[in-house]
Amino acid sequence: MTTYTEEYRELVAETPRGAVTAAFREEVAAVVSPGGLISEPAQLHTYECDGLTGYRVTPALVVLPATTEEVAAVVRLCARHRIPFVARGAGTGLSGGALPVADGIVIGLARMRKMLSVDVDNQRAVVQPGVTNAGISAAVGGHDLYFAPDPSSQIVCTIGGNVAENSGGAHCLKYGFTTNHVLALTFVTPDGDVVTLGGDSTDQLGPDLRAVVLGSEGTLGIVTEITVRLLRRPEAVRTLVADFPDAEQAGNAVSDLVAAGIVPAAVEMLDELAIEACEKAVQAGYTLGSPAALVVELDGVEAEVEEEFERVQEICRRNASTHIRIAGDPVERAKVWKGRKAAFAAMGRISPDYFVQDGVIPRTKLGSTLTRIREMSDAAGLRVANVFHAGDGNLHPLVLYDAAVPGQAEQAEHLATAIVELCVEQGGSITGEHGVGSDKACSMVKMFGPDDLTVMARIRAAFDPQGLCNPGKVLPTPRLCGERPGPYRPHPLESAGIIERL
Amino acid sequence: MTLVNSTSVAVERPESVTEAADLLRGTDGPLLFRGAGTKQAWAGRPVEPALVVETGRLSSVLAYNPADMTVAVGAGMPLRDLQDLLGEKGQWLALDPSTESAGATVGGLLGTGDSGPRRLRYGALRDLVIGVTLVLSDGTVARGGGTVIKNVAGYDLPKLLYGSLGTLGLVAEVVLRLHPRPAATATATVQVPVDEAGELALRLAASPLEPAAVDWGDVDGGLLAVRFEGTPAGVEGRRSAAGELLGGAAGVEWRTGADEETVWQRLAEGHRPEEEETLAVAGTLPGRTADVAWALSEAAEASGVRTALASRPALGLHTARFAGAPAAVGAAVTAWRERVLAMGGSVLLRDRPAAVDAEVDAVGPPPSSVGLLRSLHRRLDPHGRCAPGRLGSWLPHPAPGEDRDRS
Amino acid sequence: MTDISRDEDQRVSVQPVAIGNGAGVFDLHHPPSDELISDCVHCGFCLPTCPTYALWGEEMDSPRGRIYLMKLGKEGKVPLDDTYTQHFDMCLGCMACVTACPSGVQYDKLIEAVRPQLERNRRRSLTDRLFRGMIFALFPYPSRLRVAAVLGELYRRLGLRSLLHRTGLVSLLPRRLQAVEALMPPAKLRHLATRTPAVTLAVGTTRRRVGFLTGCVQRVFFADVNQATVRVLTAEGCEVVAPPTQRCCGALSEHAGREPEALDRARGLIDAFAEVEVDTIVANVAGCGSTLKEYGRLLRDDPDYADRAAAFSAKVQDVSELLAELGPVAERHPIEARLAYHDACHLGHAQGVRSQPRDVLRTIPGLQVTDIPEAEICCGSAGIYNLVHPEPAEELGRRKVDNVLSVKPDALATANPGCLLQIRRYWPGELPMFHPVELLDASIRGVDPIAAATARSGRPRLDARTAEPGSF
Repeated sequence: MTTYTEEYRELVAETPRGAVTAAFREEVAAVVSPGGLISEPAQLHTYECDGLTGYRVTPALVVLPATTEEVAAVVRLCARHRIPFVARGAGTGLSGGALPVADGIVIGLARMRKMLSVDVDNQRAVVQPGVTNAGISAAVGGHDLYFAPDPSSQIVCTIGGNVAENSGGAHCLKYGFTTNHVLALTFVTPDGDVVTLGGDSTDQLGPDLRAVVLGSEGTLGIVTEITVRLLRRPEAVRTLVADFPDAEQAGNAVSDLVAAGIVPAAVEMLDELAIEACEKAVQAGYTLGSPAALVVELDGVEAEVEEEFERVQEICRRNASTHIRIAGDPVERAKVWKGRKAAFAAMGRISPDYFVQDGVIPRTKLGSTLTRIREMSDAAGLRVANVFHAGDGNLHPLVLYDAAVPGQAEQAEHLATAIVELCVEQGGSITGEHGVGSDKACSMVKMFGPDDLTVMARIRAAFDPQGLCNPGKVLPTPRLCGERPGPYRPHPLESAGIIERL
Repeated sequence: MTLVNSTSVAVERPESVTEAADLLRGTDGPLLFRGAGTKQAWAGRPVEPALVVETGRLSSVLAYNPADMTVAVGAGMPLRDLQDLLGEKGQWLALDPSTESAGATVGGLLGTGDSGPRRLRYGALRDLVIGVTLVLSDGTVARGGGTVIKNVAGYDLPKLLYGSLGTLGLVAEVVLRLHPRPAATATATVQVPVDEAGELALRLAASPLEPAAVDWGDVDGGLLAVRFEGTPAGVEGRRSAAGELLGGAAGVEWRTGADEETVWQRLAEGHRPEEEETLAVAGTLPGRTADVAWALSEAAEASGVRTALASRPALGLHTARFAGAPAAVGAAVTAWRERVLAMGGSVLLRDRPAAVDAEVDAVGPPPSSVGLLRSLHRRLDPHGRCAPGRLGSWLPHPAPGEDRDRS
Repeated sequence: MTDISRDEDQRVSVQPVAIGNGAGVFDLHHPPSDELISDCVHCGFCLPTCPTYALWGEEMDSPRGRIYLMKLGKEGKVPLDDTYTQHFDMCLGCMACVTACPSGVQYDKLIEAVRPQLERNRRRSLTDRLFRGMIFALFPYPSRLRVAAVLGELYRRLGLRSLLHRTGLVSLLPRRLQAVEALMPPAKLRHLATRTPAVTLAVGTTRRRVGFLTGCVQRVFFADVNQATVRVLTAEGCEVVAPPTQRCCGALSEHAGREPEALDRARGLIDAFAEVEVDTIVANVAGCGSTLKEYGRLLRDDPDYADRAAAFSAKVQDVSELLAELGPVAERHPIEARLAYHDACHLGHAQGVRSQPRDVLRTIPGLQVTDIPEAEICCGSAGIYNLVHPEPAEELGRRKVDNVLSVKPDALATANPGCLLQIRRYWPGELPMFHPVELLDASIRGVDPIAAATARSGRPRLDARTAEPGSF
């Protein structure tokens, strides 16, 4: 049974912390622009959670700096007074990565939302962290350029948050994740130093610090400027929605696409419940009642896209697709995507509450995993909607429940956890794009052994020896997760005979 | 080129991760990790190690499921062998470094960040690595990443190791994402000087043609090669637009088959040093190609050394080979570096005769983040055993005992 | 927006407000409902379309944050003090968040439940009360507005306005009065006497009998629009009935949370239209139309009016909705121009009427209808918002103008007089501005008002406020 190593315990131990006093507030007020300090209780409450509302902690103070210098000055004060701090973008994260720390401060980057420069020739832009993901593409669209990572929340989530989470999106199957599209970072270290990671050159000497900061969920420092790589808009884009009689058939179609050597820009799958929610929200034209639908998008050079698009349709038909709808124009294509991208939030239309998971499985295990999820869902008596990035095996099962029914929330949480653990057992991951955050910190032990975690804790301590930078996230701590977060503790549902492991 | 010639150095070839961990745990003194040894002279010159750990026997395929398009291999797996294996399933690791033919290993390629022309389309190994097993100098075995292409659980240890040059520990196992082998490929070549190649590279990048590689080499008086890959119709369909962009049908030659591969072999030569040559790589914004070339020719002229340039203008990577007396070469590299640094880029020293070391700093001035680098290094390799000297002044050795050094 | 808290307490603490009625800080008369509050899943999709979030980037000045505050209020976890209420006061009520929300949160119902609570349960400062009192004693009364308009014209024509501006004396006025001064539209004196006839017969076959809401500001300052509306409707086969007894519809009061006033006005209007038999009730002002469509909900507790109000609301259509539904019969003549169409929030977001005005405009040959970037973000007019919160309204107005400028239009069309006044105030030159029905009217009559306005204006002038805009 796994336990924390002594070294690990020492590395994640909470060091004594200071308190947010009136004097500290005055000091902070002196270094941020007017209006950049929020301290009224009612206002602070609105910062107590991000997109994951299950965890709430009211911060002692919220600071909205306007410049890198202001961020650094605030962080220096935190370092000096040993006040924990949590960076926050738009607060749309789904893993509680921006959950405040009690008696700590939130450093909101929402006011740092300038596009600092766009270099069309070299296809890059320098942006502040509060710029929205979609805002970057909108700003450079006139030059036929765009920023490739496209998380579903792209109209609202910020690039700073994308950097923290290493966000993906529907199109990362072909184009990669945020980490593949960020060339340089201006980074405020947990002592308040301002350094640059990465640079003009794609060849950097030494360990890739930029890469370890990307996806570190705000636990290593605060990014205040981001140089992003922009891509030339593809010449042709073709999108179809294919309905299937069941998820297995749809999964087989995905496998056949891959086997045919096709790398689609995106392959998304929605099941019947997800289709229902999306249609209620945006009327995107998905077939209500279809047990499964695949959204397949190809992009690239015209002749190539046309050639492969024919093959995609053929493969869908061969796998018993009941209906293929081809998006005839950009408006229709946008509609298809609007439906898909609103999927999570649209769950509110069919269920009062839901848990969303973010497990990853090897693509080849798609069909069998979906069957297992259905069995588990039936056994638990809870509905599970599935919407996921089928191309890269990133599942987003949405466990639907009603918090007003006593006990149902706990039951749903257990089912959600069991699904994620199922993913790990299949050789996958607990999170494909939402991050570990507060939500899955204790699940890290399902994926990583004590030594793996110790090395991660060493990395963290190298950046943040005082443990002030977004503490309690990513890495499990004995305080949060108990002394022995063994990977194979029998699950309550398992003990109750509701689920069983493969 | 082999760096370690001393007969007193022990060389071990562990057969398993456990064995490697035991080996590191059970020894003291400086370590050097080695795959095929094709890039031992890159960056700073490490001190003489007490133990060389070779990965030659950590070379098996640990897991390969073609339908998942991922493969897990021992770090000592030569890229060449891996490509043969993957080729049977119509797949490949989308990496084509010039050291492949010399037997470069997957682990070594990750540690050195070596890449080839098709980095333009597929990214570097940084973009292809999804999991890793790292053995620290104290014998701790840590896994990072995973076996699926999409995964954000925990810190990105695999990418952290990209370019780490063996300074953080021994890369023992690597998990990689794969690509389908393109069904068709064709290369357009046009004879142009380097500055024009730089312009054309920008125009190609601004076009929707999606070239897989854009390389310029000092062959036949300056040759720009642009490779297109994809479906047969896709490659064919790009011909007219690409030809037009490259300056009209007259100057453009299309090459396929053996003819095409020959061109790329010849261009790869430009990235390999001849005996006694010094090789350095500049990285800049893509738009700086002409400036880099001009700075190089001025530096060469002032120092009286012979230089040759091979450029990947769309990537902003430029390999320069210097031949001449060590002092003159040192002066030329230094002068070139100053100019490139002034334009926001960097110059990294790779292969060179030992005598050049005294004349030029292999790693150049430290970046603003060097404090973090030192802090990280101290946490992962507290006794400074891993290739001390490799990162020159950036990671002084022996490592100071105190914990933090940021400023 | 915020300042350092003055309390010397070392830790920030929550002051629980114990009101044991189950509604927290709210009273029991329709507090925001828990079901509606719980619809919000906190996804944040509303943030980019919220004008105050766009300005300040503060969670509590976003729809999501405001719903969170409602929840806290409902739970009695925060006091109903100035800090709490200012965030609702700052909401423009543009309802862009309703459009953006994938979960279908009915923020419109929520904010409309909160505003009367705040009006009832919190005492505003004396100056605030006086200012609001002045607005509500003036705008809903066409007769008083006409007097104000005459005075305004005198002020303008006697040179007092330019004197005040030249001498800088205007800057001595409080910001809110400056806003009133700057927004006050120039009235055409001949229009002040214009009344819409009680009945106007259809041209040709009568396709529908419609009731017409003539509006308050609309009938005084934009009588042209009303005349154009009647002409277009009759040309398209409608018999137009405008009950002369109709008074203010209560929209301004409703949006400001002055519930009793709003309900009285709603009853009055229902009574006024009760006397005429019509198939449809048409509004040409977005803000009025959206409130008319809400009468059923507003009067749900009134046993005498609940059913009548619901029946009334069911008949209400914006003029563009009706025209799109009827389809064109009257011949159109070309207007060659590039027209930017600005979605009034109370038409686009509150009523969901977006395609109809565009479709109707596109029936005009030669007219190129373009959208504006950030179309979903409010221009800052928002009923009386630009009068009571002039600073944020100005920022939003300038932002909207920049966006309109970016599409380089020959003219602008929007279906709300407030938007027109607001955009015109910050426009750096002269831009012909129209209500969509005016362009239709012109097209049917065979005139080209855009060309006429452009020719009349010659070179663009810098102070738009002194210029006579388009046909307004």
